This record gives sequence, C-alpha cells and structure tokens, in this order.
Amino acid sequence: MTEAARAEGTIYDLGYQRYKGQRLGRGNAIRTLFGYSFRTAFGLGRGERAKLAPFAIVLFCFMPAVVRVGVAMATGQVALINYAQHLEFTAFWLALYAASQAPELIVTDRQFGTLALYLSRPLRATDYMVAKFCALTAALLILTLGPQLFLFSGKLLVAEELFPAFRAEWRTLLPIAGGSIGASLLFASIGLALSSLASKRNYANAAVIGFFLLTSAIVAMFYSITSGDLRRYVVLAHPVWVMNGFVNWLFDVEARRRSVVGRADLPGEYYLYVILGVCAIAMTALFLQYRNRDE
Amino acid sequence: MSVIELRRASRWYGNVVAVNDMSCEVGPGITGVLGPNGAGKTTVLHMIAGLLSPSSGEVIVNGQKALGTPETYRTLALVPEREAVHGFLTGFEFVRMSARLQGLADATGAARRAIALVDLESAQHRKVATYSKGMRQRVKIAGALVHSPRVLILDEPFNGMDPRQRLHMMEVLRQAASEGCTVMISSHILEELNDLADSVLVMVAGRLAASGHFREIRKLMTDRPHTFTVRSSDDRLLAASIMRDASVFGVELGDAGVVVRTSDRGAFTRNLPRTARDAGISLREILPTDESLESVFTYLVNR
Amino acid sequence: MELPINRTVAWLTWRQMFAQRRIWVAAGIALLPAVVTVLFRAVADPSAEQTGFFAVLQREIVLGTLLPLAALVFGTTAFAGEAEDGTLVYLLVKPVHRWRVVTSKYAVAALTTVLVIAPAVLVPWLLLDDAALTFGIARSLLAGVAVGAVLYTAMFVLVGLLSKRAFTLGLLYVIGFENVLSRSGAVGAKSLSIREFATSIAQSTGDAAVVLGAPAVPLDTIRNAGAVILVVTLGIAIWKLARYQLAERV
Repeated sequence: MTEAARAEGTIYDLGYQRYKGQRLGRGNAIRTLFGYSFRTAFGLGRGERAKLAPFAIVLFCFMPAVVRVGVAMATGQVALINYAQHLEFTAFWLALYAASQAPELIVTDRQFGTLALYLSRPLRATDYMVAKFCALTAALLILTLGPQLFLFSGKLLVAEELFPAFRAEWRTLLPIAGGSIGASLLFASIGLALSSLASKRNYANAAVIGFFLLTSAIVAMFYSITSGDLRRYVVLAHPVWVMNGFVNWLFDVEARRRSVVGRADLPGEYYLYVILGVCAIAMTALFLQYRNRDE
Repeated sequence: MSVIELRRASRWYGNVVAVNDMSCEVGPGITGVLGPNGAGKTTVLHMIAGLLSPSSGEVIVNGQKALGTPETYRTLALVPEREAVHGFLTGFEFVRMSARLQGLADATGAARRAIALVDLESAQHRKVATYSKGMRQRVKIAGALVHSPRVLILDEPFNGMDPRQRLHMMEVLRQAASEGCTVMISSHILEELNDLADSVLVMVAGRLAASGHFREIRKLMTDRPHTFTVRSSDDRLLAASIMRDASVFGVELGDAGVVVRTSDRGAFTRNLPRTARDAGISLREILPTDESLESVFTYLVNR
Repeated sequence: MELPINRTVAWLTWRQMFAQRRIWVAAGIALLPAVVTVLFRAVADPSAEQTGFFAVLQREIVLGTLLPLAALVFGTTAFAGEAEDGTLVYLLVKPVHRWRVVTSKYAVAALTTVLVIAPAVLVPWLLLDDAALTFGIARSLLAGVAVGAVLYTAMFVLVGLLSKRAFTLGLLYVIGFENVLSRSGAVGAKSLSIREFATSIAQSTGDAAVVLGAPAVPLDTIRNAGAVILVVTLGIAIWKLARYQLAERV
C-alpha cells in the first residue's frame, strides 16, 4: 500500500446494493403468512411425512360424498344425497384434522423459536394470529365445503335435466356454505386455542385429541344422568352435537327424532351462539397470549 | 505406556466416513484435537469416551477397549459439546447428581469443591435454565471434575465463555494436567489451544494430518519456507546484504522490521549474524513469525 | 438385596416428571374426575344412580382415557425428553449399568402414573355417598389402576426409546387401537387390550363386579399376558439402551 493511500483510507465499493424497490406493507405480510400457513395445513412445502396425515384425512372426508354420489348415479336414487348428515359423518375426521394440523401451524414456531423472526417484520402479533386462524379455517373449509359441493354437483348430474335441477337446488348452497363455515370455525378455534398452550407439537396433538375425547365422554355421561331442561342444555357442551344442531337449523331439517339433538329440541339460534361464543373465547385466549410477544 | 491409544480406528455412517484410519497415542498432559468443523473431532472423542464403537480398528483406554464396562467411567469424564443440561435442576444439584452417580462417598462435599473450582458458587442454587451459556459450560466441567478423573475429555469446552472465564478454565485444566491427568480438548479456535496444549492432533476431513508438539510439526514442514522478522539498526542495508545469502529467497521491508523468507532455517541462522557484523549493523530482535499454531494449521488444512 | 434400580437416576426421573408444564397436566388429570363428580352432585337428577355414574366415570373416563394418557405423558418423558434435549449423555458416561437406568426410569414413571390417577379414583369415591360403593370397590379399582399403569408405562417407555415421534405414536395407540379393541365384541380381541386388563382387575372382587360389571378377561390371562408384556417391553428397552450410541449432534 502506498503512503498516500494509507494516509487517506478508502472504502471500496464491492457492489453491495440497497434494495430500492417497492416495500409491500403489513397487508401483504398478512396475506403471505395466510397463504404459507394454508399450505402448511396440508403439508405442502414440507417433507413427505407431513403430507400423510392431512391427505389421508381429506380422503376420508371426501369418501362418504363420493360413495353416495356413486351409488346415486348407479341406482338413480337422488334422495340418498343428504347434505345435513354429511358433516355428522365426518365430524371425527374434522376433529382429528384440527388435532393434527393446528399444532403444525401454531406450535412449530414456538418450538423452533421462529416466532421472533415473524414478529420482526411489519407483522404484529395479532396479525400473526389472525392469519393463522384464517388459514386453518380455510383449510377446514376444504374438508367441509368440498365434499358437500361434490354432493351438490352429484345431485345435479343425477337429475334428468341440468338447469331445472340447478334452479331447484341452488338455494341449498347457502346452508351448505353456512354449515361448513360454522363447523370450520368451531374446530379451528378449539384446535388453535388448545395448541397455543403447548410447547411441543406432540403435546399439542395430545391436548386437542384429549379435549375431544374427554368432552365427548363426559358430556355423554352427563347427558345420561340428567333430565328435563338441564339435559337439553347439556347438549350445548358437546362440540359435535353443537355442530349437528347448527347444521340442522340451517337446513331447516327436523333432526332425527331419536338423535340427541332431535330430542333436545333447542331453538336453532342457540347453536349459533355457542359456536360464536367458542370462537370468541378462543380468539381472546390467543390474543392474550400473543399480545405479550409484541416487543 | 500411553493412556489412550487409537489403532487404525475408523468410523463411518453409511457412505460418510467421519474418522478415517486414525492411529495415535495420547499420554498424560494436555492434548489438543484441532480441526475444522466436520473434521471428525467429536466422533473421535466420543469413541474414546466409549459412546461410539469404531466401525473398524480399536480404541484403547487404560489398556481396555473404550466401549467396555461402566466401571471405566470411574476414572474417565466427558464434557460433551451440546450445551443442554437438565434445566430444572440447580447447578449444585446437577454436580451433586454427577458425584452420586459416580458413587462418591461424600457427594455433597465433592460437589461443593468442584463448583468452587469453576467459580460458580454464587449461582449454584439457581436453576440451570437461568444460566448463561458460559455458566452452563462451567457447570458441565464441574460435573466432570467432581470425581477427579484420570482421563478428561472436553469437546469445545470454551464455547460461549468470555475471555476471563476462559483463562480461569485453562488454569484449572493446567492444574489437572500437572497432577497427572490426561486431558484431551477439541477446538477449532486456535488461540485457545496455542497456550494450553502441549501436543496437538490435527484432523482434517477425518484423517490425522499431524500429531505432536506444534513447534516440532513446524520444523518438519520443510517444504514450506520459514519466515523471520528481524529488527536492526539499519533495516534497508540489512535487507540488501542478506539478499546475497543463498538460503534467502525473499526479503520484505515492513513496519516491524525486515521480513525474511528462507528455505534453509539452519543456514540462515548461521549466516545472519555474520552478514550483520560485516555490514556493521546491530541486530535488535529476531522473531520467527510463522511458528504459531495458526500457520501450522493453515498449512496442514490447505495441503 | 440391593434394589434393581439406581437411586440417583430415580431421583432425577422424579424431578423430570413434573418439570416444565407437566405438573399442570398431572393436576388436571388427577382432579378432572373430582370436578365432574362435584358437578354431578350439583346438577344430577335425584333419581340418577350414583353407582351408575361412578361406574361410567371410572370405566370410561378414568381407566379408559385418563390412565393411558397419564402413562403416555410420564412414560414417554422418561426417555424421549432426554434424547431430544441432549441430556441423556450424562447418564451414559457414568459407572451405572444401563439396564439400571432403564428400570429406574420405568419404576418412577409407573409410580408417578399411579400417584396421579389415585386421586382420580379416590376423590370421586369420597364425594359419593351411596352405600353400595364400598371401600373394597375403591381398592380393586386402585389395583386395576396399578396393573394398567405398570403395563402401559412399560410400553410407552419403550416407545420413547424407539422413536422421536414416540408421543404421537403412543397417542394413536391409545385412541385408535385400544378403543377399537375394547369396543369390539370379540373376547379374543379383549385379551390384547391393556385397558381391558385394568378394567377386569378392577372388576374382580364381588362388590366391584356388581357396580362395574363383570370382568371380561380371566385373571390367569391377565397374569400371563401381563408378565409377557412387561418382560418383553423392558427387555427390548434395556437392549436398545445398551446399544445406544451417541454420534455427533444427534
């Protein structure tokens, strides 16, 4: 180095460039996180093992619909296609899905310490929570709405003429959508709220599964030992029964007399209130937990 | 007889060879195991500690196979690299547990002494989960020293320690070595081992690249020129004079003096004083500038 | 004769059982049936039979769900937690036989399971005052809990050593396999279900059979099958730990 250069000191331009392009804001961050979480809910973008559970459950959810449409097509008996009962069949799988995937969305970030990475972006903690919630609900919508739309189109295809059948049937799309949204919200809320308490994915899986197992068993037991008005209200504590009641109310269908929901004979709005209540509690719990992380 | 002996020891995992046909002997004193990340240092140390069996060859500790009975651990201790220690225990409880598992009669007393040795007395009754990384390293070392082992193996023990803690630990290890303990330390930070290790094992890509005292290794590296920095009363004149010497093939004037590169160490050291006296220059300082562990290491790694 | 365990390893495992948040899980499991019983006394019909409630509570909830869940939590903690956190090495480089490490951890895990489930049996029993619920029933229930804990914990300790996803596998076993087995009619199938073993032991005294139902599995079968399960699972666990090798960063 020459004497002159040593005296002055130079900084060489190695070509490092600052990013001068457009910086998309918070809204974009939320949307991106939503999209990413939605894909994670199906194991996309992860290894093969991560896809196993979600894909299997999707399969099991669609299967009753496919079978029914198939049989209807073969025998021509349209009456077999009954939307109101469908969700009831797949309730077990929906619960399993929530138990399996809610931890993937919420607990992996806690377990591996990547939550701080998210929050150091223009993403607030509440945004994070909202994005995750929407993602899991949307994923569950695929599981609830998808098969029912399949049933719907099956019904159309079986009919003799397409357009008149559509005109007759299109109104059922509203309760289909409503029921699916309600069920998705319910299971997503429960899954996320319980998962947020756990420090490892495994424990979160167990917590959600344990919750469903125990509430079913305990409420069923209480149902059998209570009577009168109290017995009717006990029905509101069981997640699957609540979902059934809600769906029946939307479809304006009398539940089967022998079923629990049928015998409870509660005004349909009650089920809606319970679902909204559960969502509200879950979101509050999540909000309280994640609010403190906004540092 | 050496305490630790590797006889053509190899270890592979499927297609990946972690340790490749390594043979060496380690005796009392401090031996450094040096090498870049992924060189196989941890694998070798775990084999010596009896946690891994060699895929071929033998690993002998104190005359017995390393992967032997649990009794061998009465005189051996390992400080693993992973910083995980049971978080729900206090430092004192962890060290005392270590002592109890060793079957010491006075576990509490031994634990107290070990904790005092690593200077952790003020924090010993706090849960390990609240410790800093350096403190966790120290509590692991305390757990290893509690039964005064004859063989002490440390895997990157100074990770996360600040300089003051490091110096203190080095003192502790020197003390242990002076009492006859065989200490093996692995590191990829050369400064740590420079002052500490009497001899080194240099590992590169699973093979043993060199072993012994690093100054001796340096002397053996004859195909690499030696460099000396000479300060004198007239550097420029000295540079011109010394250039005439056949053993010198490079001369550079720098701030610290004349930097001389020579291929023949012996001849240069004989000729330099004569050249200086003939030119009427007084020599003030002669420093070999590349006998540090770093230059040895760089050379070995890049070979 | 010296106990076939190592006291220090046992002490460590005991401390581990309740570390992190597990203490809350333990409390929840222990007290949930009590809460349910309190609710029962508050809201149930006067005509509702206490014995019927108690039977369903103990069979379905305590023995059927809480017992395997507790054994799962504490059994998998014994090993899976350590291997994952990287702290298992401290037990392996000590002059302690590896088989003792296994037995010590297992014993503490099984004991913890029993201690956590015992309140789930006793507190509801105390809260109910039906004359038919004698102490003998509570005692046989505890015996069933003990047998179930011993067997379930052995299985989950082994699973913890075998797989990182141990917990999920154990969970699938509990909800899937055992539920299917116990609901199926085949008697043969019932002989494979630990839940049925526990229940049958609980039902084995005269009083208990009246309240809880008749045992489905004969005592002999339980004794033999149970012994086999215990020996095989612990044997494999010991063998596995003896061969356990700690590589870099694993």
